[in-house]
Amino acid sequence: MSISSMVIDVADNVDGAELLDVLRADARFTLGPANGNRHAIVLDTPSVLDDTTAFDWLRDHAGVRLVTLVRAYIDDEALPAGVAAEYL
Amino acid sequence: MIELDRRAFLKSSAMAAAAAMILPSLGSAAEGEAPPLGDGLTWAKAPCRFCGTGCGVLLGAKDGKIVAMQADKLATVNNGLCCVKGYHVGLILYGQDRLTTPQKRVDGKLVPISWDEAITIIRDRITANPGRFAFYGSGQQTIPEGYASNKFVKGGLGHNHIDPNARLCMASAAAGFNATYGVDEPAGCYDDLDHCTVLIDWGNNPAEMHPVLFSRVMDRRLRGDKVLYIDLTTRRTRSSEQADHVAFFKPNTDLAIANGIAHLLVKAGFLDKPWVEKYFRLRQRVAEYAPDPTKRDVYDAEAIHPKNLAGKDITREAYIKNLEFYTPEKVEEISGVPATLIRLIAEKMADPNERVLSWWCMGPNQHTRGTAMNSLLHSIHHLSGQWGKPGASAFSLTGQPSACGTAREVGTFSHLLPGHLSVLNEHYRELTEELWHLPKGRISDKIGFHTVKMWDEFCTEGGAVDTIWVQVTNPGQTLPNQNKLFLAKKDRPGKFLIVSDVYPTATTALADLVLPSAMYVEKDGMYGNAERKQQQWFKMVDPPGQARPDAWQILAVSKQMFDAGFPGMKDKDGEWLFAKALKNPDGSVPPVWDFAHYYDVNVDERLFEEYRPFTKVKHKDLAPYSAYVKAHGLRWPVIETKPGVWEETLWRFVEGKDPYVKPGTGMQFYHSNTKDDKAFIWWHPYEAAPEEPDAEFPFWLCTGRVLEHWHSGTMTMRVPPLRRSMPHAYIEIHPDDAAAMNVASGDQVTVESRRGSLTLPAWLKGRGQPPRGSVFVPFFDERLQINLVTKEYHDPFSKQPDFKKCAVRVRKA
Repeated sequence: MSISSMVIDVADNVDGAELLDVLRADARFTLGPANGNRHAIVLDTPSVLDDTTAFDWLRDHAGVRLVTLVRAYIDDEALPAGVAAEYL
Repeated sequence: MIELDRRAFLKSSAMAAAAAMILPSLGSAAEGEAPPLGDGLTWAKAPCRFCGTGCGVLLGAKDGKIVAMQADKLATVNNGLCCVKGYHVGLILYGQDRLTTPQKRVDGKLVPISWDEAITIIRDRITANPGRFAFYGSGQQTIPEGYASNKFVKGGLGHNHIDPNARLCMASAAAGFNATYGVDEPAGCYDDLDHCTVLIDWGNNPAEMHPVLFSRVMDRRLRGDKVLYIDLTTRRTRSSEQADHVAFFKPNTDLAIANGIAHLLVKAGFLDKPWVEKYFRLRQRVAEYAPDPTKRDVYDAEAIHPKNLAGKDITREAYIKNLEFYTPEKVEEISGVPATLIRLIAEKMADPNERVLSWWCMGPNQHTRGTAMNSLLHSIHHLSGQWGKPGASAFSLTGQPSACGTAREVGTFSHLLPGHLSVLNEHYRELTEELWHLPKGRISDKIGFHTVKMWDEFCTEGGAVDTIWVQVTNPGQTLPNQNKLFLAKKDRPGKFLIVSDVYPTATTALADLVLPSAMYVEKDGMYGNAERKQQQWFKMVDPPGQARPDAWQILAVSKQMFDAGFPGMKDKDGEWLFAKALKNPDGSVPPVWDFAHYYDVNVDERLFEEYRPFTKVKHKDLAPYSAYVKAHGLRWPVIETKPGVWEETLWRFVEGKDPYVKPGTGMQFYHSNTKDDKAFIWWHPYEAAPEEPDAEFPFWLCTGRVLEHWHSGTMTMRVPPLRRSMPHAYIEIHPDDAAAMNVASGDQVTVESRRGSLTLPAWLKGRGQPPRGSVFVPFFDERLQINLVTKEYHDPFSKQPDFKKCAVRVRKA
């Protein structure tokens, strides 16, 4: 399990509006309060690798100006034995 | 059901943390300090383990393991932000191949041994010939670790053959500060980023190397602040993407650019500004020390002796005359930077309504004229008056978490004593002997081997070093010219390499003895970051297996040497070298050398309190250990303004900001090299690099880092998300150069110098792009070591090697 929260600065244009629609429709993301174009969101994924994939996808998505991670929970299951070795 | 509830709770608390970032009213300071109450985790503060920024983080532990982290909102460095490395910092503890037991090499293979045997081996190796032993430390040693190793060598062995890997990253910055102010480390701080109106990168890529500090400025721009951002660089980087002006300069010509700016300021009459006469002296080096920079051994030894670091006066007329050559057009011809941009920078620096901040890191530091370039950067700020006001400063960033706190301040360099005191100064040696309770004459007055010299002596048959103990660093990957300075060890059977580390590395691959170390929050610690800020943390989890703190390893060896009667490990009263520092109030010495008792007392606190008096000598006053336990970092000098209240200093040498500046002086450089409270405005000429491209080796090679990996990748390459994001090293080539070689992205390319060669994949349109005639290779990948190709050319004063420029040829493999 991996849960992370972040702040996204959304572009003030149609791309930004579409991005918010995309996030609302994506079960991995929960949108929270906003302050202007800055939105608090939570990302809930099965593993730290899924979390990173989703983060990269979001960072590169049209309508995103900046993504700032705020908190990351990486539970025990996030790093099963052998995960690191898989990459070594 | 329990898992679902926990998951919902964690999501809720994570959302609250994010909301607090954008809606300040939702988050109080207290919440920032102790965020997720009830989540079943134990949270504690620590600085990030990686770079010199020194971000504050909160780590969450559960069942003896770090399982969560968040940025510390109370840490003024990062104000609740972290970079991608920081958010994965907890995972660095859990690579699958942690070193868990001491090992010695037998018939070519490392075999497990006991700690007792390992400590005895080290004892015997050192006592057999202490003068041929050297210690290679790190800007990642904690302050107490660095202090213990420094005392062990300089106080216990009576020589100064100890040097940190910080020699490779910021020795030129330290030399530049000392040459200019008579004392090391920046006068400004990160708060300058909040006030500057013009930001100039000098061979710097903060978007990847110091992303949190970079975002601090970019965030201002997102909120509407006007900050003109100028990127002077040798290759296009992610930082360049955000810049208003990007200019590529030919490697090594940054001195010409600085002189071009000084030229325009002088033409504009800035030598007549009142602050120049009042606060500064014009200065030049004492001699022409390198008529042929390719012959690195022909320096006039007298000219580059540290006592001549401060140079000599230069007349106003000579200073003006020297600068006349550096017209903007001439500088454009030399460097490639447009004359219009040189003029723009000079105009901005000349404008009293602007606040100009220059910042740099490895570009001006890893440079055969690093001391000179650092000095020139300070000088153009002095001349223009862009100094001493919030946002107007010249700031040197660091690459390691305690390059300042440990290497520079604790003085683990081969020419320093604690408190950044010179071993050449008799008074400082006597003071050290007094504070360490040593017999007079124990501290050597001879500068020890600097890094390149140390490894050269080690790897040379008959060289003066037989044994090196390495802690918290990976020279088998990070030294330049690996074939000469590290791999040659394979052919020297009499040489003995001891390595304390947390994972197998390129260095442990040649080690004769490997010691498993505890890392990060597996032990207590303190770091000092680039803005003079000390931060403290407590051990949160146990290290794996038999891994033990580096400080314990030093204390255990020292005690064994004492027990064996080694005279250097006795103080003047015949007690163990560390006894007085560690004593209990009742006078007994806790048996911390026995690991079962190491945590009976707070060893860090006791070593730190012995160290503190040193810091007052050069007005780098540190607070008591207990103050750092409470605070989320304090910038020195830290002054007790009323009983129990310790206040930090944001800007040095400025009246009203620095408690040591006398009222009425405005600014006072109270460690002036000329004892007149004045700092320097330096003259240094531009000189060609020792090795430039030619017909045989037609490309410049620059090496460096990437966002995802920290230095040699020992930690970050074991964090799966980071490794996946940047799985291997590569070579950046300009697309036109690649086309000429019929190379496409992903093709294998061989880069070759006069020292060695390396074959690795090409990346043509990646995040960075060098100009034509240049290539870039990062050094994080131990399988693709670019330091087989680099050269150990170094600055004559700082002895810092130049990893940023050498000549190579490139071909499709």
